[in-house]
Amino acid sequence: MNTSEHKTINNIQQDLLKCIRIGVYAGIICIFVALIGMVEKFNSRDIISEVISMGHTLLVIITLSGTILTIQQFRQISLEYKHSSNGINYLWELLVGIFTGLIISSILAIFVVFINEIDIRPIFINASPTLLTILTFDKDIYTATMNLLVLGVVLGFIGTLFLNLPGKLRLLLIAGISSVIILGMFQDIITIILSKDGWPKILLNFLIDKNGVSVTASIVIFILIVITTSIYPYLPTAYENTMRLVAIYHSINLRISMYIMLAITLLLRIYWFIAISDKNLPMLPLCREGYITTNATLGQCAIVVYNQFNNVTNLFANSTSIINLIITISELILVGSISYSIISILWKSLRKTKSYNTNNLSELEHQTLIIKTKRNFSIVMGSALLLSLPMLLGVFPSEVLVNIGIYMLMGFGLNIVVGNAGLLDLGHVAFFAVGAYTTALLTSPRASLELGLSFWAALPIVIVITGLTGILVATPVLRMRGDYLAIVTLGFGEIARFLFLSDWFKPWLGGAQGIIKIPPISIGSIEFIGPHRIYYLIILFALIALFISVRIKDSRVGRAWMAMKADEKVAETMGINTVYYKLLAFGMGAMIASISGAIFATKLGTIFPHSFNVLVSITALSLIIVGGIGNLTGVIIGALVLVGLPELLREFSEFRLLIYGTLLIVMMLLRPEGLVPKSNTNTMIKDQDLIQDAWVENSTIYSHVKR
Amino acid sequence: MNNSQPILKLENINAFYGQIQVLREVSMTINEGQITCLLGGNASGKSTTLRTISGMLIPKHGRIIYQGEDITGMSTTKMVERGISMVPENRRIFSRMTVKENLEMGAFLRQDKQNIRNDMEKMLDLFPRLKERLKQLGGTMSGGEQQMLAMARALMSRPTLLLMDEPSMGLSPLFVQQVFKIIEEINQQGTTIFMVEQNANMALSIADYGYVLQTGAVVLKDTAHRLQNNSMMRQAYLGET
Repeated sequence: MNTSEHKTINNIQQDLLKCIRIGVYAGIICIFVALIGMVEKFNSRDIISEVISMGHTLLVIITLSGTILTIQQFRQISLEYKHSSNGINYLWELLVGIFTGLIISSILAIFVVFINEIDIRPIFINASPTLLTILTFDKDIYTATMNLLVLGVVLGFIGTLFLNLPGKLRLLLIAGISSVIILGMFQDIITIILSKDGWPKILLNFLIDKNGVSVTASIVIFILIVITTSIYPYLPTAYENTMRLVAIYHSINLRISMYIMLAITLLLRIYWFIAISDKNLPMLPLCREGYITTNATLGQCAIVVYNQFNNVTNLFANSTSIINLIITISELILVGSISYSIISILWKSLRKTKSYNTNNLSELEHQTLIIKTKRNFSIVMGSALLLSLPMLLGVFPSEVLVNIGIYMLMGFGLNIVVGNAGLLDLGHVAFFAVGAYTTALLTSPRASLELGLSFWAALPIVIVITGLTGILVATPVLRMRGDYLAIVTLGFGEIARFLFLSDWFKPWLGGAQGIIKIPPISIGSIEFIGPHRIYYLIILFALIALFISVRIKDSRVGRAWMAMKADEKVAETMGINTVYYKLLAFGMGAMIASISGAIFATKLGTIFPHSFNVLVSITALSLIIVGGIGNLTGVIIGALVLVGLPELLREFSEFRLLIYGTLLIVMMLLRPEGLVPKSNTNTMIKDQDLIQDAWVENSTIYSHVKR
Repeated sequence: MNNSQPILKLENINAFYGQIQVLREVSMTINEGQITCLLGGNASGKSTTLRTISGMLIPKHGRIIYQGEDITGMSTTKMVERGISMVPENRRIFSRMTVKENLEMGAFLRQDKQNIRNDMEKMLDLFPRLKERLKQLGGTMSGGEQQMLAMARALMSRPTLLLMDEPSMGLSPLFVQQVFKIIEEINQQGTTIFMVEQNANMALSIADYGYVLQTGAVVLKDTAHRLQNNSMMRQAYLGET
């Protein structure tokens, strides 16, 4: 036999081994998720109502990923040993895929037969008859095994086919299918949101069937997402062009047009609600009954506003009115800015040819203008959306948002220590706890001090005390770096909890009973009770923390931290007092975390030492890592993903840590720089550079840059 | 040149890493406005001497006197305040910062913004290479460019005494020549330079005075010219038999 044949045989052996290895791994993972109860738990819910359940989806996804992984590895090998022709290659690939699918399914089939014959429930409590029903599709064991094997073959085939689709089509399919799955996973929260007053009932009935997404809705959404994804590549250009048009409009009369739009929306809104009550007035076409009902909450708010125009003194008497006012204003901004941009685009597109000539702007100035417009636009839209979220979503999602916000605040604090100054701190919960406990001590009338201060009086004291604690903790660890620092801070975090729990402090801190009756935060007569109000406080403090973090990053202090993080010794030779800056980092990180703790305490009204365990620190650190270390957008996204998702996905909550761990490992393998890596912020840097350049062009100081 | 004032004096320095003595009774004088170089083989204590001067290592015995003031045991930060700046071994620039930011870091302790700007322009004139790469990340530049950046960064603090640790390390011969030319230029503009160097030939060609260290003790000290002609020196370091 000649060498090429020899190689082929060798190659076949290798491929088969690879199939078997990955197949066995995937099979084991299937059994694992079945035995820990994930399949059974997930099965209680359907992704698509009465078509496929979440449990089955999980197994299908594992099998599909197994086959796809094998074929990808197979392709890597076949790059080294080129097969004779493409046709054989495809056939071989198909065989490899089917074989892997078969291995996975046969392992699962063996498992099914096994738990059918032998009762292993005394050891694996989740190997229940229910699990068996799920895996056998409620058939007798012989047909079930056959079914499973056939399913494996089919899945292997699908996996191969999927990989051989052209890239674009594959992307569309992934987008469509995953959005349906995501919708199915979030059906609970969607049901909660949509069943709230103000959303049309038809939407809910259309989307959610008895136990999952309805069949029609999933088809419609699949098609919608596929269409959106296929036009997605053109969206950024569209956005750019839109912004270009808006920018030109801006340059003519930015503020005036904005105010006019706001005024028009406001007037329209008021008119609508007078028109409802007064039958003599003609209804505008937009004011149909349907629109009013969908915006019932908005309507009430507007009435409140309308009334308050008559009776301004009444404004502060009713505590809910302020919240409603905020909501209404934000909604007006939202509606205003959308209609404003639409009109400005229409306006400009009508007289497109003239506009470029009438503006005597250089290309650079023009660019700057566009960037500024983009920024303004996103700030306006973003803030309006942020402010109206609790109204749109209702109480439970607001609760989730508040939790996200609390972690986000802590994340901002930790980001200063870890992201900016490069000090790995695993005990950040200590500062969170000190903040919470100090607040409780100062504000609760039932606390040992019996001070009963208001939150706002206590807050500065809380911040200062926690900042000092941060410095106190940092002092002994000044010489440590990296892993050692992490271990020591981890210890500090635990020490803090034990101190709060200890008998020694019991007279003051209440030991395991904690401190109760912490009054809610209030401004005047408005009490911040309930998540949809605390949300606004969180937003306020998060924005302040964000602002501080952004400003400090580019300041002298931020530079010093950056240098210290990069190279401590060299930073010292630059004249940076590393001791001072380390203490400052810990102090500031602690201060921001303390605000988070203070809100946490007032939100619950009661605090116990057990709320401040090491998991809080770990979550805070993971959200920074997942988001991308040292990146503020990353902190926000990390909090949304790591804190928000587990709260929303009820089925997942039991397996939260498993999913955390898997997520972190996958992150480290695939995106070690986090979800929002630095490269993504490059566009922002570019924007800043452009603005700087525009400035430089007009200034002589940086004359050398121009050359 | 013998009449110039001593700017830095080491008096009988004994320095230890834990139990191991690295410097034995090292005494040196660095004169103002001169280039003094410190030569020696591997592990002879050259870098340790620099570390001692810059305050990273505190000597067990002996005194360091800078401009008549005893600065032994003073922190690095305070040294920088007093006008001692250092170009560390292997450049060690901030690789994730741009060239401009690196230069700004060098002027960290200074508050006079206008002068910092002027100085930055001066640096960019002195190192035209950096001008082209002002917005580039430090870590993406070549070794020679990084060395230039490290020097420019150290100069941004307007030092009276510039300490340099092996400025020629890991550079191509062409770049070595360029770097030494610039060192001479810096010196001519009034900065006293003390450098540690392996490349004895090059170093002595621009230096005024030289010290030779061997296992932590000064074995030779003389003017650079005489050192170049010293037979022992020629055998040990200048590669002649």
